[in-house]
Amino acid sequence: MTGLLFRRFIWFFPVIIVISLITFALMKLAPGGPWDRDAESKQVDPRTQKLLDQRFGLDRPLPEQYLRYMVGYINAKGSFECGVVCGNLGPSYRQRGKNVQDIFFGVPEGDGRNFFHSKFGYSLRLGLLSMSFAVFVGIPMGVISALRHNTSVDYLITLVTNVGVAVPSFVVAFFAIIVLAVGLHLIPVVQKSWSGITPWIVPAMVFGFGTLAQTARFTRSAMLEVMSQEFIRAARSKGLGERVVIWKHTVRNMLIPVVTNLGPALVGLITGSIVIENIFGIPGIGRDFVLSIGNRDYPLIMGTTLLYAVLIVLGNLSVDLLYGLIDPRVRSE
Amino acid sequence: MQTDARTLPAAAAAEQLAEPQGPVSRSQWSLAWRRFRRNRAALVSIAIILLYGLAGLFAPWLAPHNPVKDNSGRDYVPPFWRAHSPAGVAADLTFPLGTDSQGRDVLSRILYGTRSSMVAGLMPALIILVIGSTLGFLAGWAGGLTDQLVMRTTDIFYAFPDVLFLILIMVTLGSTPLGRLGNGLVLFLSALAVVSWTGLARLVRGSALSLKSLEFIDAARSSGASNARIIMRHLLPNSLSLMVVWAAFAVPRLIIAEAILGYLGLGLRPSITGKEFFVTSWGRLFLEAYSNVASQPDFLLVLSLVVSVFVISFTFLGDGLRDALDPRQKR
Repeated sequence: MTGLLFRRFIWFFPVIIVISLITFALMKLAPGGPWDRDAESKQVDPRTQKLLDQRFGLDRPLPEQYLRYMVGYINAKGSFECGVVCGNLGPSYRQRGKNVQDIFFGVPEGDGRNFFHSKFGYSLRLGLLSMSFAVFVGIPMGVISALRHNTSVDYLITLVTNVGVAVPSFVVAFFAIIVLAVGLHLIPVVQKSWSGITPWIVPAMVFGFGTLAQTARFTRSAMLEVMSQEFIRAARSKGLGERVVIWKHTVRNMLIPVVTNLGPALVGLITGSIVIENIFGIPGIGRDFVLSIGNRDYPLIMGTTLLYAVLIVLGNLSVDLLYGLIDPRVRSE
Repeated sequence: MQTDARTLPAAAAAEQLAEPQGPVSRSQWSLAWRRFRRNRAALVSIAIILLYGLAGLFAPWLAPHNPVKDNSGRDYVPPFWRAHSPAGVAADLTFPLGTDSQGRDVLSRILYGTRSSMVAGLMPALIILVIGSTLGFLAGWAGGLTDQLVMRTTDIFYAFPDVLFLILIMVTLGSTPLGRLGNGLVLFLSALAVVSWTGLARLVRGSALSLKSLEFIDAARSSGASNARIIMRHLLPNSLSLMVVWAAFAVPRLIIAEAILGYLGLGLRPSITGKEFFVTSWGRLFLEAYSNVASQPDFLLVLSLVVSVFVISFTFLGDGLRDALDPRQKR
């Protein structure tokens, strides 16, 4: 188990390096630079541009720029400025005086503001709420569906989950807005405040719906599979109560494939937030990403891509861990 | 089709025995078609998908209006089932689904959008089927270093957030000459193919690996068949059903990717003249409909319904194909 986790963890580094290289290459291939007001025409005068380029090291050869960003460089005062390896994502070109990590994790000023009010905090809240909704509603739905196999309850749940798997959260979000916001006026089209749990309910349910459907489907088929096995019949025939059979013998074995499926689902929830944050106007990291590319704010683009990649790798790693917790057989390997 | 040593699935064999008119030899595909035909949901889905395909293909003849013509003073006309729009504009049957914020006919725009979105779903799927399966077969068949190389590459692409990658490509390369080809469709299709090939490659590799150890492959090899011949004549036909099912699930995903990018304003460039083959796409329309949702919720509603029916049909088709082509696999 430790060996497996270690191998997975080591794999993390080449992934991050390749992803950062691809992102870096794409940014440099793009016409225009960070100082242009729009992509077609230059509006900063050449002298200023030269100074800015010097200041941010953009006048240096590309491999050096990449290394400066990833590892670090010696600044004008002769001291070492550490790069991405120390968690320093570099200064934003557009938001003066701010480093990219401050933009992501910086807590805005004001009373009672904490980590959850940073841009990353907003994205994290959306992801966690959606995931909880998917897991804590999806798994019970699947279990009920399997226990009531071939009844009307089962058919209803299967229908809902079929639709949920097919229709992406992107389209579900529009339905929610048409029905709940425009039709019934239950929620505003554009949410003004995100404090408390109420404004989050609809975005989290919409965003988690696809994962919920998938989880419920996996749970149902895994449940049915386990329930048809010999050891369950053995458990029943030696006189164990129905509750023990279901919770201790069936559910625990059924969770393994379900948890494996949560890995890709988590990845979907991390990257999908770009569009959901856009639709509901949630001030997280994804919403500003498209804008930052248009602005050619290189460090912000790199930072966002790297952050997402790290989250995806960590997400997969944590699923591996969870896998070991649920299944003792994996632990002993 | 292939008659060599593939064991017939038990269900199919039983079905053949039950045939009253004696031993008629049936290929695996005709057996699959017989199973598929019994799945009513899948048949309806195929009909719906064909309908969408025809609508896209014949959009210029079906569309009642020019999709880019601004009908001045005729904006926000409601669809036929509403007497008045929220702003009090009366319905007009010459615009069955109403008009948008610039007075353009919604029905015509959706028809033209369907055309681009069909292409956005089908073309990358075809590209991936060629590239992804080639790489998958190579990795599975050759093994060793080739296998390592291909599989490690898929690992990296797997960790690369694909929506992010698509956005990056579209924004950075969108205004280059490549990005202008075919209203941006060429760049978009290639980008989609680049981010989505890994799933199929893994699938095909797995299939090649498991087939490799079977006797009929050994037989082919010992009778002197070349690697290329074994891949084309034995591995490919036996993995084809896998690939067909993959495609059925991939096409709606690709179409949604287009819709998301279009919604973010990064997909196709909007056409002004209406002369281009690709005038608008579902993604573009989502962007336009959502920005005017308060004045005209029906546009967004119709569009969401059109897209939902399509993706649901593809899911049912995919389920049907999977059940028909691989009856041993449990649902």
